[in-house]
Amino acid sequence: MNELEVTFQLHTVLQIQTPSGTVTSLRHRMRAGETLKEALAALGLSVDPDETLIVVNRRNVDLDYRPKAGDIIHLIPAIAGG
Amino acid sequence: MDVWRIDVNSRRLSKEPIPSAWRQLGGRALIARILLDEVNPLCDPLGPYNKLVLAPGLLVGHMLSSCDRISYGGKSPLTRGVKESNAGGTTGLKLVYLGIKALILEGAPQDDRWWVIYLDKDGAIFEPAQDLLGLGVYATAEKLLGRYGKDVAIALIGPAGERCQLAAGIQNLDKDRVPSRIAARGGLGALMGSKQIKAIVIDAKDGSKPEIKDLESYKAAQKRFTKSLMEHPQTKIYADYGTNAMPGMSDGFGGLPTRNFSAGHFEGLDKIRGEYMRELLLRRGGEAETTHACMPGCTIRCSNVYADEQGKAIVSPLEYETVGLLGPNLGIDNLDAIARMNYEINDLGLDTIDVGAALGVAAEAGLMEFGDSKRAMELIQEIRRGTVLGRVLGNGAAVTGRALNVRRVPAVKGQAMSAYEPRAIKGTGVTYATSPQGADHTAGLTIRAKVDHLDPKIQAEVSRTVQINMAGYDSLGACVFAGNGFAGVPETIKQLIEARYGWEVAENFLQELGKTAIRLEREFNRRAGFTAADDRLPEFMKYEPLPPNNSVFDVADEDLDHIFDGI
Repeated sequence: MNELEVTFQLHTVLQIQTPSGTVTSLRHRMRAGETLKEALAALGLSVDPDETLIVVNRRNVDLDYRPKAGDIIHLIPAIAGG
Repeated sequence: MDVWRIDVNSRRLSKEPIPSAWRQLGGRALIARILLDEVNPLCDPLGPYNKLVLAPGLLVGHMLSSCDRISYGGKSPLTRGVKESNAGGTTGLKLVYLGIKALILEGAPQDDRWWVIYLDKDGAIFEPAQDLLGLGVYATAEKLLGRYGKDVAIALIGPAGERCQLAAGIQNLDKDRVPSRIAARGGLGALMGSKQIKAIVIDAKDGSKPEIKDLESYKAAQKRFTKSLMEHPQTKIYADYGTNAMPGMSDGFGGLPTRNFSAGHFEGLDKIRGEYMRELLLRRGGEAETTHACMPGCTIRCSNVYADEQGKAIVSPLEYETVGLLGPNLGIDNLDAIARMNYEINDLGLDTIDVGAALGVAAEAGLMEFGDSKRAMELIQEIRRGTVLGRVLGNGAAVTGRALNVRRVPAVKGQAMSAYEPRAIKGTGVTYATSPQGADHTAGLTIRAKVDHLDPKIQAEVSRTVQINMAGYDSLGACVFAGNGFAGVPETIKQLIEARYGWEVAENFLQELGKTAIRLEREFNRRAGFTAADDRLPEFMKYEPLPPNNSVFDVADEDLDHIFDGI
């Protein structure tokens, strides 16, 4: 079974507060061909696709996206601007 | 409500009934209507024929959360076209309490005397302002609050406005009476300075909340809107991180303007982003506040108080646009330094976006090294001292580019872009290019859209929709973030307007208002001599690839030319 590793970058309210500090990114090994939705479920991360921008290589993707080895996947709670 | 008109030469006020064509307009749309009706589009923006208009939005007056914004307008000294710039704070609320639909300042003084205009229920009093000349906005506000009491609202300018510098804005008191809420864009502070008005003090102690025709319906709609706003996920993000939640998002798309718009990724991101800022402020404590309301009754509270290591306030608020233009755009990754620059630029009464962009251009010209915050502050002090260089910088990025012979100038219609790179967020590039206001993110930001921001073919449609909505919100007096609440219950806009005024309005009243505003603004600009050639981004963005996407701005000119067809 082929595996690959990706990194999730967590933004704003998705960052995880722990006693030892704030977790801003997570490395994750997953099966090749799995979707983002499956990867997030395995990680236990709850992401509302309507209110979260999922950005890979500086482009929006959706939960059906199948990550590639080394992908940096930004999970950005959407806001309208500054 | 009435229209209050002041001739600054005779120093006389007249109260006039609202013309019927103005009645169902407010804020930005009303300003566009007044300018078309009363201001020669070819006039000198700093001359006697231009007018400064203050117009609260249609919903202002009942502390409906995030809906008390004041719009300022006139022919822009910066763009030389139509201009509306709005701000939070208390000015809009107090004007409405005095029954003012629009306040129009016209004419030109015939001598060198400066004035404070004091408004109350009885009318307007001109009081000498010579003792305030040269003072920054913080000292000016303190003096005026001492003179007129703590319950007034104040609209005021700083030294840059007095000098009619083209990037000067008009400041307003926030709910804590700090003159931090600036109608920053387009040089309207210079217009106020050209009328030799240092401040407008609004005393509404004998005023009253405006009438509501159907209180029960109004309260029902208000409740639904407030619930929708409070439950919207973005509200919590803005409350926790403020607008400075944006750097990570912009950088994620490769759209964070860096070193004078030469890159879209900033290596110092983690030291300027909102997540870092929040932890810093919580750790510092003291006067620091991670969440703060700029308008009374605002439930979003996206403002903040930025404090130093001792917990002493440096500036309030520190916003994303300022962080972007004074941070990555200058190669600076130090929030304390950015906050101190922000305070100085505020005190001068200038727009941090246009001054930040001007400093980026100055760096490109060799007047400072990118990343050198000490030198950036020295350049800001040149503005305070009124040196030749300072006078150039205080006129904004476009003038600075011309004076220093720089080709890479991030401006449209003479106004600097804010902290979204149009080669990476191309829909916002369309907004920058085609908004009658010049480059202005508040006219229609598209970064939230779940689209491919690099695909040139879809961007005009994305931008058009947002531009119309934003022009509508600017006419209601609603903060852009109130739009999150209205998005969930859009029918409440019609319900609130009908309940308050007793009118019958269309289901899509927001969009109708927005279209009206844009249509009138484009007509003003057409008469001012603007053509399709003015609806373009700077040329370098068409051929200079922006790393890391290595993209150029390639939305077709034809799309830009037809974006508002049939509006």
